[in-house]
Amino acid sequence: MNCVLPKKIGKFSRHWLILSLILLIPIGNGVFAYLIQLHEGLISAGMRTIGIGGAAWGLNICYYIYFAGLTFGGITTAALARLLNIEELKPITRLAELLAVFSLFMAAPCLLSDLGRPIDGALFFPQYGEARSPFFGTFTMAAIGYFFVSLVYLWLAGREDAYHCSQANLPFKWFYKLWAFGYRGTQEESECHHKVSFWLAFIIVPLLVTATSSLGVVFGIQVGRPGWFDALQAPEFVVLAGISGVGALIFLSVILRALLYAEDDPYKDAISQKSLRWLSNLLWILILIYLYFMVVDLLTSVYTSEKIEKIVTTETIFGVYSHIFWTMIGLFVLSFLILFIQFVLKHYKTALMAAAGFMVNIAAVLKRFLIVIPSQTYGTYLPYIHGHYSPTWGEYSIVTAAFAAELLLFLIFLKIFPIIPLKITGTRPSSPIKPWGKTLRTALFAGTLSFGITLAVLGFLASARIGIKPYMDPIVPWSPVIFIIGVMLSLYSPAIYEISHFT
Amino acid sequence: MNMNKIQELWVNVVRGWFLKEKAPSSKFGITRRGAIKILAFWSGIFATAMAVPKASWGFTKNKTAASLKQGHIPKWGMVIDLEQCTGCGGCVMACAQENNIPFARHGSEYEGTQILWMNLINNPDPFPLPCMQCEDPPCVKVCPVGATSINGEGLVVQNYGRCIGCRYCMEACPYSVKFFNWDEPEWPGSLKELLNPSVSTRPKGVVEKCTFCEQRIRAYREECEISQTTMKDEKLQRLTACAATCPTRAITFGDLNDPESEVSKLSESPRAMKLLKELGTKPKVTYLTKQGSVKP
Repeated sequence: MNCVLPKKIGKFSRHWLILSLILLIPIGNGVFAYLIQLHEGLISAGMRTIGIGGAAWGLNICYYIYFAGLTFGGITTAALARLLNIEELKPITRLAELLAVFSLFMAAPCLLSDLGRPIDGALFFPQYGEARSPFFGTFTMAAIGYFFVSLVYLWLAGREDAYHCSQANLPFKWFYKLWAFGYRGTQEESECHHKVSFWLAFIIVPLLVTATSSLGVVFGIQVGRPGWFDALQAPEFVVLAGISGVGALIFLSVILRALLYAEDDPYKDAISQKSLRWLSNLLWILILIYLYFMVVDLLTSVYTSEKIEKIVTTETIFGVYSHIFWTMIGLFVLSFLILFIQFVLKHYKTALMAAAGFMVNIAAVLKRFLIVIPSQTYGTYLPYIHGHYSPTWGEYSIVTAAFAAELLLFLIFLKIFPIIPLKITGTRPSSPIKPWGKTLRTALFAGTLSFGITLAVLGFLASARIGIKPYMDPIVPWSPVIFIIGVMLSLYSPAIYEISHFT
Repeated sequence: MNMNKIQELWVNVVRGWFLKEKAPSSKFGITRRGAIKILAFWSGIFATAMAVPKASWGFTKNKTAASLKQGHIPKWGMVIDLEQCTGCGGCVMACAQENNIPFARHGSEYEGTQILWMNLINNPDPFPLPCMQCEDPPCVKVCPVGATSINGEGLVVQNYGRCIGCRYCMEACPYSVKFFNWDEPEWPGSLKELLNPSVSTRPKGVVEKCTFCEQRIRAYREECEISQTTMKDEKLQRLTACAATCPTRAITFGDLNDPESEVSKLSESPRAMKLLKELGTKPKVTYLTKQGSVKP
């Protein structure tokens, strides 16, 4: 059994170093901006009080939703590839998993930088988190669930490659050995991995949809904020997250392909036109669904006699936000047309697919801005003055730093691990699992899963203040942490099954 | 029973049941009789705890001895008569002074940062706007850490030490009466010495709001407890800073659970209306107006 490793793995070129150093500049700028914000307070941002001329949430929240959306898109694509056994998508599954993990890394600072007291936030939420607050779902399911699922997936799927890297003459051998975690590349291990991947995908796809819906619910159930209060928010969030994730994946895949071609890498043809075609077809379908949602939504708002709802919608379409709205619509429609015409003509251009992937991401950011801001500035029931929001240098710096940090993480990963799953040739050694090993493995899996589910249920019930007054602290201290650990253990149980290979 | 007596009793119980009886020891170091006594003691404690309503365990905030003695839990409410209101802004000033609300500062960067626990909106006639102290407050439901909660008397209160500054409550409040400290509050010169010691100042990064002058309610209740009297409606009517200052007596405060109180009677007036009641928040502030004169 042998495999070919990517050409430039473990080799840090001068170009790579220069690019990394360039990326450190916006990251440093973002850190500096955040330190100023910590010192001065959120007055350094463009947000202000609702009702007296401002919007209390701004760019950071828009980008938090955006990054969480990328995570959803990434991990769902990877899961679907395994669940539906889509061969075309398999070469980009690792890229999708990385997009998920790194985007969530960036979502966290966006959210934390929006808090008035971030340290207290990090301390108090794990202690006193309220399950009835929509933020509970956001912090636990979306943040921790997404992150952990993506990480488990990335780890399990990468074990085989890590094993082969550990056998090669590469630096960071300890890293590969740690990642491989006892993997020996046997037939049984490989079969077990495919089985686990399938079932993990089967469980996490609905879980991810729930988690993304919880983000939509943050806005959708606010009766006091016209423009937000909408039953379609949750499904719209899911579809928009899918659009931005798939779009980013197409864009990154094209860049990666170009990079591998430039380096004349043995994996330069791994990301085929077929893979990109599959993604671009999925993207135009998602755009179509989203445009349908948007039309239904706007029609309801415009047609309604509800005054404030109408004001928000009118300002969005024809008023102060019209330039953002029409740019967003233009980008969505243009991307759809590019992809759909390619589909009809059966003639695909890589550059056009990449452009569409990029444009839908710009459109998704603009749409998030339109979801978050106009309802705060124009959606007040009482006769307040209309608000205004324009992000400051500090807010732009933090968001730019997040993008730069994500790119840097990709660059680092590119040099230390195969970003495209390795092609393994030859026969695999066989080491059948011992009869007692099977029983022990099942017991460990079942034990972890049931313990995880029990903890999750107990943690949730305690966080929901079941049996006590809603304004009391939870009877079990740190119950949100118990819930999170329960969710994590439940999601980790398939990994336990896979790594418990007793031969 | 004061603390010394409790301590004495406790020491006696421990001595009698643990130390004395432990001497003629069984193999577990305790006699059967002693074990039964311990079991009986703890069963008694448990049964008493179960028998006493949960409300008086001390978890329920601000339930005082006075209110429990009377068996009456007040529900604080306010009535604002818009026909009486002249829009003088006295209530806004009094509220700011009473509750240590920082001064609004000049400069474009400070626009939209004012804190107004009592706001005055012109529509076109002025109407004062405190926190509605909703019975079903959206701000409480959304708070991820329980920093905004309802106390035992139905007041929606803010725990500044707990608030993480996510501002979700500001988004959820349809009346927009929650305010964020965008920066560190400042009081120019010697004005810092005039701060009300009964009200804590709030640091940057937390949300704050009108509390119906909870400190005044507390102080009056303590006064009544000391003088062994009940809280009088005549005093309650002008208890909050805004009500006390209003020159036309347009603001009336009181106990909505007392059918004889002025605030209860006024809130039953045909002129009474609740702001945005269609949202189901059940505000405890009632406006008295001619039909249709307030058009939110």
